Amino acid sequence: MEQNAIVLDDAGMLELLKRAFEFAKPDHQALSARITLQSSIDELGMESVAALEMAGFIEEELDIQFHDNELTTIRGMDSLARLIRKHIDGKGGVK
Amino acid sequence: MSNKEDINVSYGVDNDFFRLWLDESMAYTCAVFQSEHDSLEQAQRNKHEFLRRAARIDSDSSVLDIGCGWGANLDYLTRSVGVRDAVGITLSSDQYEEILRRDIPHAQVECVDYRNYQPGRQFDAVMSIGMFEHVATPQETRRGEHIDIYRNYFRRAWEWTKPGAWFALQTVIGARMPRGAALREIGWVTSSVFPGAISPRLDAILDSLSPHWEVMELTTRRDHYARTTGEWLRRLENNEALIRERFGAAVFEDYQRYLGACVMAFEEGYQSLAQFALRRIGE
Repeated sequence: MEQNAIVLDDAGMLELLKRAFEFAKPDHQALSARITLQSSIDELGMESVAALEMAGFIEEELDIQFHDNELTTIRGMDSLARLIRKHIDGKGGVK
Repeated sequence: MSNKEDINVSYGVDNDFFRLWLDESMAYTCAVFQSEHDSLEQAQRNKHEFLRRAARIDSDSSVLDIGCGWGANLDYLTRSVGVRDAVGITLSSDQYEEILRRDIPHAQVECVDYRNYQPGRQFDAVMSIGMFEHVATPQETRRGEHIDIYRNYFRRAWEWTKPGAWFALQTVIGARMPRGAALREIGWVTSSVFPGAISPRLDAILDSLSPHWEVMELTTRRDHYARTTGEWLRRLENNEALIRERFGAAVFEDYQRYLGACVMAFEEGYQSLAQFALRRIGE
C-alpha cells in the first residue's frame, strides 16, 4: 500500500456515495439521507444516466477510472461500492 | 420493450414534420455513404441495398421487416428489387397510417407489438433496421434482464423464418461510455426523444444470438451515422421558420438539440452503428 493511503470503510463509502448522489441528483438531495449500501438504483428513483453521473463524480474524487463494461454492471450502491473498492485496492488505497 | 406511449413520443410528432428533414423515402436510420458526393437520398438507397444483400433477398423472397418505420425499406424491396411478398410490422400508429397512404405494392403492414405478432407462416428472410434499440428498456437493462429479452426477440425471429433464412439487423450500439456534459446530452436524448429505448452494447447482442443465429458478417458505420444525423440537422435548420410556425418552437429546439447530440455522440465515439448478416441455425 502506498504511503498515506487510507482504507475506505463502510461509513466513508456511504458518505462518498451520498455526495455522489447529491451531485447526480441535485434536485433530490433530501433522498441522500435514505441511501444505504443495500439501496438499488430503482429504489432511489434513479435513471441510468444518474448512476453514470455518480460513477463519474467518484472517478474524479478518487482519481480512478472505471472500465466501460464495469459501468454497465451497476445495479445499486453495493455494486458501485464493490467497483470502487476494486479500483482503490488496485491503486493501493485512497490517498 | 418501449410501450406504445413511448413510441408515440419518438415517432408521433407529425408525419409532415419528419418529412421536412428526412430523405424523400422517410428512412429514419443510418444511411450508407459510398462516396463524398452521395446525397442522403442515394445513401439511404445504398443502405437498403446493403441490407438486402446481407439478408440474401431476391424478387422471389418473402420478407418480414420488424419495425418498418414509415415503409422506406418495404418500398425499396418491392419497387426496386421486385419483391412480391413483403410484410412490415410497427408499433407506431402514425407510421402505420403513412404506409397505408403510400400504398406500397406487394407490401402488407400490421400495427402490432412484435411480441404479439403471429404471422402464421415462415418467411425466407427477416430484416430489422433501427428497431432493436426499443427491444429492452433502460430499466430492464439496468436490472440485467436485457440479455433474456434479446434472446426472446431472436428466438421469435427464428420461429418466423424458414430453415436457411438470413437476418439483416441494423442497430445503434453503445460504444465509449460518455462522462460529464456528453453523458447529460445523450441522457437527455434518451429520456426526451426516445423514452423506453437504449442502445445495446455489442457484447449483449453477441451473447443473445445463440442458439438461433450465427453472425456471418458484421459492419460498423459510426462515421456514416455522424454524416446522416448531420444531414438531418442541416435539413431541419433549413426548415426552421416553417417548423416553428407549424409545430412550435419547442419541437424545433428539442430536435435541434437532439440531432446535435447525435452528431456529437457519433463523432466522439460514444455511439456507433452495427449491421449484421445473421444466418439461421438448424431446422
